[in-house]
Amino acid sequence: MSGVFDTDVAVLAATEVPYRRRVESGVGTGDLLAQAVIDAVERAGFSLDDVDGLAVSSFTHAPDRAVDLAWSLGLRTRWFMDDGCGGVSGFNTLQHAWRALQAGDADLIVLVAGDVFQADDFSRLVDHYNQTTRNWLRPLEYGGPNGVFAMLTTRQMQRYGLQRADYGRLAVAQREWAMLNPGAVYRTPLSLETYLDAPMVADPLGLYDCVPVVSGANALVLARTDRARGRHARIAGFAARHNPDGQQGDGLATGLRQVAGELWRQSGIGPGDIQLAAIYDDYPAMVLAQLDDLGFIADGDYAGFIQRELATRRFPVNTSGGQLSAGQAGTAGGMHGIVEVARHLMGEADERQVPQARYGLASGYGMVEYRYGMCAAAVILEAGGGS
Amino acid sequence: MTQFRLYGCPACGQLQFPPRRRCGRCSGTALGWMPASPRGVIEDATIVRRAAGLAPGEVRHLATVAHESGARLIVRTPEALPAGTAVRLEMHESDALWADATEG
Repeated sequence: MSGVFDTDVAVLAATEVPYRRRVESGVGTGDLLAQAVIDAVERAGFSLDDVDGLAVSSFTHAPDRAVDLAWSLGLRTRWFMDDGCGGVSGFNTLQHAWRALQAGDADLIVLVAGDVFQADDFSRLVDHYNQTTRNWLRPLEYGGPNGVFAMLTTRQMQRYGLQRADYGRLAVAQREWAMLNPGAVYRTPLSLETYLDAPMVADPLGLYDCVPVVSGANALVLARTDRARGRHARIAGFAARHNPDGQQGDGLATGLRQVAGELWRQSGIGPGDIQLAAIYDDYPAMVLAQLDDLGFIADGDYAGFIQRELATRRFPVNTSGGQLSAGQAGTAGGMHGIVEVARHLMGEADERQVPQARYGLASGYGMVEYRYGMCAAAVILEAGGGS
Repeated sequence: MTQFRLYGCPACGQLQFPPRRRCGRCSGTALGWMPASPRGVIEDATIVRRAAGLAPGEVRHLATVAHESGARLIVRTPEALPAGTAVRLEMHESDALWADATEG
């Protein structure tokens, strides 16, 4: 049976406004978002006048919304969306844009995500992330999510027999990828010794387990595949599951565990067909949790998987350096991985290009209510449009 | 000492924290503060050593407590308490939930 929702939709362009530790004085979130939109539409081979849908994900864009950004860029849209769901924002907006394009509610949609963060912005964000955090974590002067994920990491270490060095090998591998990515903010070589000797942030998490906060933006241009004017990345599968357990579990599994089967069925492939993955890496433990939920790790052998697949970079994961080395630009972190995978599938990943990549997967995770993230989503993209 | 309380469902007696609007057990929606046992056991702990607002050398002891009701609570402790430590819970006026080892 075929219908409107069988229409193929693809990423036509995927861009990043360079991440940086500090922005020039006077540059705000709206400026980075606008730049990302302009760059992405140009790269897709369209004009801003062709854009009729816009989704904006940001923590710091307020008081502006998507329609305000559309106005400032002179876009006449018939579809827009605002999203502030951190690590899944790019996935959430993609899910809705995909269906809107199939249904004909819009013909060319730009998804953009980004934040300009100063130190004060970040402290305010973590203390007031949601009502629960404001009411019950902030009074503890808990110091932000590091302590919460430190406890989750301890649980994972006990369950799967992991040592700090195992997480270190993951972080070192991502730094090795970052050294091939001029866009990564942290590119100096990182040794396992340096990782292990780094100051502790919240035991067992050290400095290199925690994402460095940066400013930046990402954008994706989406359209029905028949409108593509060159190489593109078709959406082959998508799945999301939010609040899988009411925060009553241990946080070692994400919602992806419940929907991975559906994701693979939709896309008609399996984990062995994926040539590169971008897994949301707010902490190394969560990379492992998502890889396991998605079916990449056999028999819970996390340490073996790290040594065989990640440390050797045989299975390319977080080839941009991930947020651990590229930096976490607020909500852009929830789109960064999709952009990275799409770039490889379109042959735009330069020195770090995975050769002849056909299938890639990106997953997002986030929105910590109290003890761990509630949201999880994944997309599978397939290269299209020839070389 | 004031009676320790947690949020929960008066209809079925299930406690759940942090406060939510629907009972995870009986689906009741008339939830509120209820008297609760102040006892629990440390499940995981961490020492936060670097954070905004922390002076060099200053640390915060955080822990996850398994409450008798099954609820998992994130608390401050006055010192490092290893997993398995029996604790008594106390809600401070600031709404900070603290736990300390019980005597004996």
